[in-house]
Amino acid sequence: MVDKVNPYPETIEAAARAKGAGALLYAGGTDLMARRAHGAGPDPDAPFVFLNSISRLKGITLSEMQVRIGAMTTMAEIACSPLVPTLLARACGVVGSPALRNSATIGGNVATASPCGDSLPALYVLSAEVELHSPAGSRRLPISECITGPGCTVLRPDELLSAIYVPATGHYRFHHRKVSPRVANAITKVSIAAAAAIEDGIITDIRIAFGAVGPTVIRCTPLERKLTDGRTAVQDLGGGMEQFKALAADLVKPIDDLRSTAEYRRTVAANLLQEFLMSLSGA
Amino acid sequence: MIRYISFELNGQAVGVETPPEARLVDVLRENFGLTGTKEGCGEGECGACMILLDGRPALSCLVAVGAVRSRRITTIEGLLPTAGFDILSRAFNEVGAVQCGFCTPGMIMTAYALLRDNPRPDQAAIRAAMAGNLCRCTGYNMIVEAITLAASRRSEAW
Repeated sequence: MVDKVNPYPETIEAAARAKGAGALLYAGGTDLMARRAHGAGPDPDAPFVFLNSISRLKGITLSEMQVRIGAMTTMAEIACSPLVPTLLARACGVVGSPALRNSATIGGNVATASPCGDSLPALYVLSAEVELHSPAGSRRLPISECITGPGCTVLRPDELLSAIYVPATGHYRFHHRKVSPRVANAITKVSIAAAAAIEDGIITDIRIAFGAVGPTVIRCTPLERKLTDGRTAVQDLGGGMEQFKALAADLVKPIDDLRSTAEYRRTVAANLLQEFLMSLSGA
Repeated sequence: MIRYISFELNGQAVGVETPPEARLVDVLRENFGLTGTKEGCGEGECGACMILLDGRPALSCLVAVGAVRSRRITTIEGLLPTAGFDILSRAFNEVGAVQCGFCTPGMIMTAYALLRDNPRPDQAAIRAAMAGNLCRCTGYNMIVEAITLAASRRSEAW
């Protein structure tokens, strides 16, 4: 039955049904084709179903202080969009290489759910929500509930990710850095995405997320609470830096792998936090 | 399952009978005999397979041919008759930016799109745009020089 599937569905429902029947969804194709090249990845005989005929999966729209990003939106489109929060634009702008970003999609990056996925820490910091569609209907959930482990999401077999929602952010200071050995085509060793709201020199809201140092994105909620509950002034950040860094080092869960060691990642994560906090107390 | 997939290739309407899952790099090289597009790594990390998809650089080893239905593909062969190619290839030759030549078609594809969209790129912009194209021979500086030289001669070529 899956052989008879239309490779070019024009509705989300048709694509979801095809996925449920065993077809492989082709968004940007970059992860799918790269895994195929390695002989890894899903069923080598399953047909592809191409999503680029479905208009509801495309486009970036702003309404009521919320930005809807269609799942088929490419990293390149997000990186240069004036509608998207700068933090997410920055994060998407460091994925892969310029040509890769012309194909790779945000829906694919989220659905692949790699611990090193570059859009993910920014999406967690922005409290992004994902919209999932199946023939039975649609649902929306926070991204932190959508990704459950390395390469694992809560998507049902006949469910596809149709859009990401992020708030149109106000006066937040953003920080982002990807640590990798090269500018392009380098999987992240450690990354930080962070945002802070500062009023009269006091941190009123702060969000800090690390990538590539755990099975999923590490959101530093205890550290965030420590900074906001204590009504920390930006000028006092320097004084508390060692304890903030120690807390971050405790929260991350890095491993040794072929790219890096846990110790390196832990140390660099703490340094990235310091860089972010110092940037707040600067001009 | 074999299907007929039609698209525009170097300005011509074409079609090919192939599984939609076939890699575009293979279809270009084997079905159409356009061997200017190279396969260096097969996993989208070297840029030797660079083509333009709807005018934008794309890695043909990571594109399934089914994804290009009704879209516009340009290969290095399609750039040959253009003034932009003429300026770039002369600059590459003058500066000595071609050694084994394997990365060169991919380099030219990316550089062509860069200079089309950015008439006066600085060093940082050139290196950023070319970051996905690897070269084993030249050490890159000559390639950056060639693109800088081509930019200075750009005028109305694009």
